[in-house]
Amino acid sequence: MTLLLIMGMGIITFLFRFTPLLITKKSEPREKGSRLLDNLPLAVLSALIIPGIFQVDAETPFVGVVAGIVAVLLVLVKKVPLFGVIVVSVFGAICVKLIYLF
Amino acid sequence: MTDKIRQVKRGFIDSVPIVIGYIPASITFGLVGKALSLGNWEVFLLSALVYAGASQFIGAKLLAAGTAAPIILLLTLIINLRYFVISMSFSQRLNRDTGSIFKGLIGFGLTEEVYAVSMMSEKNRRQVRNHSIPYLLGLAFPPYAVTLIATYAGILLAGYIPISILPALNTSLYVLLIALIIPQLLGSKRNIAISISAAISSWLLDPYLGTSTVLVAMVIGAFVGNCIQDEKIRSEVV
Repeated sequence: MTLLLIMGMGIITFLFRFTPLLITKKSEPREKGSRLLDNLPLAVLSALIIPGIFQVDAETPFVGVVAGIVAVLLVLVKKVPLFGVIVVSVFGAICVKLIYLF
Repeated sequence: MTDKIRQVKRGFIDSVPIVIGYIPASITFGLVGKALSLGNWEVFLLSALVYAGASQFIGAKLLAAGTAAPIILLLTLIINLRYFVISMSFSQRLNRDTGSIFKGLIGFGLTEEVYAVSMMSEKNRRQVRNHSIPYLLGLAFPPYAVTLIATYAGILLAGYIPISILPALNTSLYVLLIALIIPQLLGSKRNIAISISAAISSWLLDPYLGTSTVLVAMVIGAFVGNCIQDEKIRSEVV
């Protein structure tokens, strides 16, 4: 029963991701509809970051805040590669967490 | 042939930041699933079949609470509706003549992070207008493989490792998204408006809408962006 249920959840999720790839035709650039679609990536990602980053560590919201600030600074101030931004920001988050723990 | 291999390799390389994020996230999922006293295979299958980040956690909680099946399915529908919009937006970058099997494989692996990297990274926008299939498979496969392995590791490690440090590691998923969007915001009023309006509506609506917040917030952000003219950037983004 649980197996069927999990499969059902999987099928629903898959169909949401798959059907648009099947049915959407590639629209000509500069169409009105696709202008709205162009805005979506940025809108989705922004909505995912906030408030998610404050909730990532429910006990210590400051952990996410520090990781976020370090990431923004690294991207803005210097041309640090993506990998470096992630490593340094997460390191910052871990330091904050350790300070809180001890 | 060699070109295809090169494309797959480029996908692998671009998937590294996602992989780094999915390792702690999936270990956390394994631990949390076990802590909710779900069976090993239930936890694993949620990762293997649903493969959808946050909604896996919600699914695990609902299963553990013994929620009725129709309600679980209905909630899955509501929470994951955002993938429909994400996939619609992503389909603009996919060649029309792509085979259905490849569309299926890529659709299955189209998580938010895979979507983010494929739409946002500077390199991708410059080099390819439409993504090649080998590149997309190379980008989508490692995150899935790592999710399976790390979920399994989390299940095995349940009870042995303290859960308290994992959230700090999970910040990497958000850092990845931040690093991808900041370059888009520089010098574009329109993009700033999209980002800020989506973020603020998401923040304000979260206590009321819960899991469907992202869906509403992204639509608000997209419409706000349509009200703002930004001539210079238009030509670059598409």
